[in-house]
Amino acid sequence: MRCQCCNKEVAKIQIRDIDNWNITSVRVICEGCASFVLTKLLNPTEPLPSAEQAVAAGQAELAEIGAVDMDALKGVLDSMEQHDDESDDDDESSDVIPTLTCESCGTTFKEFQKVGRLGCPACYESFAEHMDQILEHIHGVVPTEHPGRGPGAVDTDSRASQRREIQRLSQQMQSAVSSEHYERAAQLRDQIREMEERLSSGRQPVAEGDGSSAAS
Amino acid sequence: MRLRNELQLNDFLRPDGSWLRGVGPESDIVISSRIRLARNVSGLPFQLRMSDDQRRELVQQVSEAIPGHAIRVDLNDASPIDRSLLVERHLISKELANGDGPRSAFFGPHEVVSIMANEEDHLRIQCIHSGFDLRRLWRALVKLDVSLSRQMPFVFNQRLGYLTACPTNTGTAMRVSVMLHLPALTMKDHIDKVKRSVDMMNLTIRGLYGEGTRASGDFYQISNQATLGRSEEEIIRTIETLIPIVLRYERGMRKALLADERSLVDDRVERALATLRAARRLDVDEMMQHLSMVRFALLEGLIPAESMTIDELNRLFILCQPAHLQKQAGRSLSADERDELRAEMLRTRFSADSVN
Repeated sequence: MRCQCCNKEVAKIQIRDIDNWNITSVRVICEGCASFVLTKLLNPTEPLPSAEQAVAAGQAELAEIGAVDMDALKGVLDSMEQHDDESDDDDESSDVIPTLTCESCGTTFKEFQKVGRLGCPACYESFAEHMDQILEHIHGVVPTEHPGRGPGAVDTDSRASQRREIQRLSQQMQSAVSSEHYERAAQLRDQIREMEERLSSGRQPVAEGDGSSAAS
Repeated sequence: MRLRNELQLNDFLRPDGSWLRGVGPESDIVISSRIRLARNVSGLPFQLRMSDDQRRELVQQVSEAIPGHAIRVDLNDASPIDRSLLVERHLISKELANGDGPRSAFFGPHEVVSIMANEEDHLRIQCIHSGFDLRRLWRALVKLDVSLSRQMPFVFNQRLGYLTACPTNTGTAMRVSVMLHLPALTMKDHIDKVKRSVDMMNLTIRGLYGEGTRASGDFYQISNQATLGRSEEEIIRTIETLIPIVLRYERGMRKALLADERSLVDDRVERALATLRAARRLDVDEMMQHLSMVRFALLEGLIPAESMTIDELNRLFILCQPAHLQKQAGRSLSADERDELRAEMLRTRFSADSVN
């Protein structure tokens, strides 16, 4: 999902308004914008704004330095409102759940609901029809493919050095935000985004066509 | 591997290595950083359905898989004081200390790495260090995780990542926590704002000893809430991005306090010192409160730097916790006795000629 603040970067951080345990609105923003938004939230002289106000204020600042695509953003926000409405009816469905039992360990879905713990790894499969919704509720994302490490991943592949470069740039971006050099921060953010896109698509800047020449 | 069911306090007073050292990036505010991974071993049910035999076997398996030298404590055989001692040092969780059935803790001599077996998940692996250096922790933790995973296969799913007993940990099963000392924000009543802000950003802020504990002595832990749908790298980067903004907020507030409300600050500091010098009984909360003010005063140069190091002060915070006190006394003490001993220790250290 695109960042709902700058509409450029891939959004990874949820920011939501909570009213008496109910989530009343959700915005998803990127890491770069997150520092702008948290800075808006933590303003010593102003009362705490809502998430929406903070995102809007962050956006206004970004707009001023030309780092946000306002028109495209409107559509994203509108579609988000509808999404919010849909996700409200989780609670009703839990009453009509037939008794599911994990064949592997004998834990029932009811028992899981009561103690909040699963009986064994197979429970994820056994309770699959509810699991995605539960995970989405907790983590704010629908599970698709695990983006993190797997067992034994030592992280010494060629991508490691690119990641280190991204790290270095993000540190620079943070200090740019800290010292209120927002323009520089926005530049760095775009650079980081570009590198991340390249990294996640698995596209390497060199070595195209090497495979075919080796074969011939 | 040394099996220790009788812990010696001397094991814990080494000056080097531990998270108490008060060194590392941002260590004026960031006391320590910690990363924890939850892991479950393939072929076994989760804790809810495990038999005691399976748990015992798992502990054995872990103790054989751990590389290098570690101290092992079987919690069932440990005294209540020793169990609390490990909690106070952040080596184990309250859940492990107060749980039942076979369960163990393993930790290295420098207390940087620790492993809990049979907590909520089969394994909880953590790395803790003073200051704000998540990269260093992460590197150490990956090494340990990889070496363990070669000895015992962990439950992993391509779509969901690591499977855990509670779905709140599914995915990376990683929790990054940063322990912060925020005296100025507490004094100026801005903690609620920080709490609500970080909550809005899907982070949690809790007290010194984790879940359900209240903040004590202006110490708070901020950690990530979501573990699914983002990589370890992204979780670390989010914390790295957001914590500096909280730090800047605290620093700004300190500056403002010293500039505009110097007499309020001086009053608080002098009262703290006076109490530490004179009190005959001090409970944990009051001790934390006063030492927190001393820490603040030391860092802001309100007390001469030569009178005490941050390292020593961090150590005092821990040595005055209930289990540490009883360990020093060599016996169990009533609450009143602890308060008296605590006051005595602090009175000796803060007597007028040593800190002024």
